[in-house]
Amino acid sequence: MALPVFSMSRAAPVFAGAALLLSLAAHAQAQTTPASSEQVERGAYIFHVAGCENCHTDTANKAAPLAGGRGLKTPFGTFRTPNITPDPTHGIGKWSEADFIRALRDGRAPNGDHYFPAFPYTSYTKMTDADMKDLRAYIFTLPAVAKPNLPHELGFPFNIRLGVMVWKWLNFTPGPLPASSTKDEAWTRGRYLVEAVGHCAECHTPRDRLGGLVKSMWMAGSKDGAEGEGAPNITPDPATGIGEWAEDDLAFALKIGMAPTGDTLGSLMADVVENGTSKMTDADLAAMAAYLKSLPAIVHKP
Amino acid sequence: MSFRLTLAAVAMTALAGICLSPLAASAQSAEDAVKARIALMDGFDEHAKVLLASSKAGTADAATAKAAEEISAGLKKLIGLFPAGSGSDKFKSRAKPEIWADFAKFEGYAKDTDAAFVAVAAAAKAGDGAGVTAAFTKAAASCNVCHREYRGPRQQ
Ligand code: HEC
Ligand code: HEC
Repeated sequence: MALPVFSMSRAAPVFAGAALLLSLAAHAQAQTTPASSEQVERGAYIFHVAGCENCHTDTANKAAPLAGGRGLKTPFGTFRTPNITPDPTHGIGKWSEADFIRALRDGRAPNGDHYFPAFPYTSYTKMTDADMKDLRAYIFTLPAVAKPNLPHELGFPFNIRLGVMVWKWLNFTPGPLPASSTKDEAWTRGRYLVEAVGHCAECHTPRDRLGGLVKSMWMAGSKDGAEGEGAPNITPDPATGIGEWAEDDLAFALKIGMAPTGDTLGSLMADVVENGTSKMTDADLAAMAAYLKSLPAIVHKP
Repeated sequence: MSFRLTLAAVAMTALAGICLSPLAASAQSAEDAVKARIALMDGFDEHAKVLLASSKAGTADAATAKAAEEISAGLKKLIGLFPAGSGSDKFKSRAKPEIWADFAKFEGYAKDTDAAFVAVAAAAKAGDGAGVTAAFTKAAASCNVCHREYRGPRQQ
């Protein structure tokens, strides 16, 4: 019974429907047009901010980029990320643009299976079609690796994919971010980079018992971040968050991987910085910082 | 969640047991080394704050050079403060066991990081503000490379 729910939330905002039509038209065209170098370059930028390699490359075992196999420990078991290189057999080489968009937007496989939210499509769903297409164009320029996928190591009942459908029904709102009429362009860009592409909330927002993000505690830090490591409160609360950090210090910290306290941004955040935020433009970093500093301050020590 | 708490309680009890048991002389010096290296690296944070301000503004002055040289000198001492058996399994420390699995590699990282801070000092002395920013960006990344591999998560 999840399907009607999805199509309802899809159809609700009128502009979303219009955007969908437009994107379908663009899609028909993109299928036949080979990727331009500008598109690939834009895709590379999105790829880094989105941190796809942080999960899909098994760096600990020095495996080939994006060939998967990295283990993600969660309270539900260990996920093994799949191969997303353009290999036609073991990767996503046969995927159409529509297949790719569906995976990121709806968390569904080409055969209709529901993906586990360990794949943060819950954030990527907010990305624009254009960015998803650029992203795919870039990934398809990377070397194909013929490495078979490993099965997830999940306990019952979490190993049942159908259960994900229920989870999504409770916790997942597909579709791009609503427009904001009150905020400026930089803030809107910052929100997009943080919420959609950078998926910062996936680690920095606490989860309820079902693994859904607690919206009222947005970015207030989580005890059970990815891979069993907590992530700190990054709301502007001065005592428990980063309220004492000036906006430009925050942008600079994300650029070079060091907090204004002189300590490095370590553990999982080191990957986020190295593969992602350190490669962003100064304007985008400033936008991210402006958005984060505008959030409600929440007193919370995870 | 209660499982986590239980685990934490078990770990704390184990830790308390170790701390209360009479320490051998070598363990005593390992404890000193842990304290000394934490103090040394806390000092790095203070120098890094100076370097952060300089790189943000593109400042190349004597204070910038001095801060970079202090960290470089500290890194030369740091390696000696990781005797075998001084890891997080025995002490309140974030030092991961990987350090001692291949100590030469760990040492190599410290040397690379040292060289990165020498470059910051050189840029500062040459009056090259943009050079300070570029060199410190690299040096900070070098701190991070080492921390990511060898430093465990924060302890609450
Ligand atoms: C936090 C870790 C994480 C990040 C970041 C991540 N993924 Fe994944 N991804 C996963 C996991 C886990 C799965 C497997 C989900 C499942 O089996 O249900 C997955 C599945 C996929 C799949 C489906 C592959 C298949 O064979 O069905 C694609 C495509 C994919 N990811 C692309 C991406 C892209 C593109 C990005 C960056 C925008 C990305 N992922 C970022 C964890 C991640
Ligand atoms: C994969 C999980 C993960 C993701 C995704 C993530 N972070 Fe983090 N973040 C962490 C962890 C873990 C730390 C703590 C680092 C440490 O202990 O040094 C952290 C620390 C930080 C800090 C420093 C806070 C402090 O008090 O020292 C900031 C700022 C931050 N993250 C911002 C972001 C932003 C912005 C994004 C999105 C672009 C993001 N994070 C995405 C896990 C994550």
